[in-house]
Amino acid sequence: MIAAMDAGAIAAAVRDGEYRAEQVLDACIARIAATDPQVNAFTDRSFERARREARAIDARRARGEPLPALAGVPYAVKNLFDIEGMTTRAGSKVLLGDAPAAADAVLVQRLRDAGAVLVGALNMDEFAYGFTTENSHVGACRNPRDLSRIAGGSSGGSGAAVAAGQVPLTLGSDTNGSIRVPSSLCGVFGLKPTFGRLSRRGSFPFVASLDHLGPFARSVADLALSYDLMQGPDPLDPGCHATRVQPVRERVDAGIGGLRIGVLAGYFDEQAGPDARRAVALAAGALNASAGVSWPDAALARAAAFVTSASEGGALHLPRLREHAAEFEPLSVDRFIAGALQPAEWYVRAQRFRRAYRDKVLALFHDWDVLLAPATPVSATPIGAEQFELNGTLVPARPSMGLLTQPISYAGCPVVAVPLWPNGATALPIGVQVIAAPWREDLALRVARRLEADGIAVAPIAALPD
Amino acid sequence: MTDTPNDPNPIAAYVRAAAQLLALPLSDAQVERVSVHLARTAALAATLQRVPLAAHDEPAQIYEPAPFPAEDPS
Repeated sequence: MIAAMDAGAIAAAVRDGEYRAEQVLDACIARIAATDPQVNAFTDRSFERARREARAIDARRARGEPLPALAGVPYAVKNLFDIEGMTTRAGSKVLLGDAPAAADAVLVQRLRDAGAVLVGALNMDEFAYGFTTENSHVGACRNPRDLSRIAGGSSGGSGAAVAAGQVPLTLGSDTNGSIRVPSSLCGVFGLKPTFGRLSRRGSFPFVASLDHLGPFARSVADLALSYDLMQGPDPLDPGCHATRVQPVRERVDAGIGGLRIGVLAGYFDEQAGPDARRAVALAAGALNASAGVSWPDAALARAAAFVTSASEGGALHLPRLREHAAEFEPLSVDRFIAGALQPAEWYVRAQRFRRAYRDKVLALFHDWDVLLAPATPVSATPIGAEQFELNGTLVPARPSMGLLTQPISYAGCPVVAVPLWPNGATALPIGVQVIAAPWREDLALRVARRLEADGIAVAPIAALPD
Repeated sequence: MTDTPNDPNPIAAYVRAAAQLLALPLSDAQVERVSVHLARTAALAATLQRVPLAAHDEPAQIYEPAPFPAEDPS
């Protein structure tokens, strides 16, 4: 069954002639048709383009040409990535009158050059300001593990499409947790690279000083493969700090011998529910990790990330809020307005704090190679839930899903979110963050791969009702 | 922010004044909702106010007029 194959296996099958790229595409389109009426992951389909790309791959093989690393692999992207010829929604209604994108986003160009086949764009929270993908304009994205529950956000469509077996690979963005939260709730692997690693050119921004882009997949090998193919300096993106490619694919199976692995305590334990704690304990046990590591200033970093996001996001959208506030997402428009009105001192103080915070976090990695923490406080909540219970206290559901991810991304560290199943394979998944020092994605991927190889972290395709 | 020293809802008064300054029209209902969000952020910002920062503690990112040249001019 093609839908069950990961990206690497599909590319190998196309290279070997076991399947034509167009056959793979047909299977992918059939799977989307069968499942998306339930999941609502896709907002746009690019099947004509996909057909052209798949046929081009088959033609290259027929001519005897060597095929690139992702030849014939279907993928989809969060709808804030530019796709040539399509208007970039960024989850909104107010952008629908904008001109179609003149070119693909840089990461889409790189996957296209690697032979991947783009089948569409995916549901998200409006302008990426949310953790639930309850998009009022196009409807909520539903979690393939339980259709009554959220997929997480803001890259909810990206997590759900992979979990539902619609595509083996998607791209999303992560400002405060928007790759890691859907990975956790949908039960798939996600990589939030180091801040400044991958080019963001051609994606619609939310918070320029925090936005990251990265992949979702059902295997660590697919994360590493796609990540390597998307790496590369981009002098035209002032936020792309990486000046050379640092490949990881050949290193993910290097094992964990010699790595100092710790488990974050304090804030990360206090803000985690019982399932999240069990998931971390399972991972820590398998890795023989040391408990009790203290991450510096986690609560302050979360506060600073909250302030920074509100201010930059609000300021970015102020012109649209003046004219079109009524067309904004009702679940986030008031937060955008509040952010636009924040005193400047709050924002400047948060950015000044960030510099000192960075130095403390870097110092922590003198003693540790990889750290573990829960990805979300709880597993997926019901769609429409306003609150959830966290260790005896009711907390607001939508902002609180990011409690555990925000401190990490504020430091810019790379994280692989790995899916665990602390209550069994038929219950809801919940993710663990595998965190490394900036520019050490290789270490986080090695640890994630060990958890996968040991069967601790797995991402099966969801069994959806017919 | 307000003409009265004991304004019963200073955040709402601030929201009204700031929105007017930014030419952002808000209904009374919007002011009320926005004030709830701003109050939540204010509580978080208050935690940062307690962090000691010295004058030389710079923001995380500094504006660069252009990339520093890799070579000295000949």
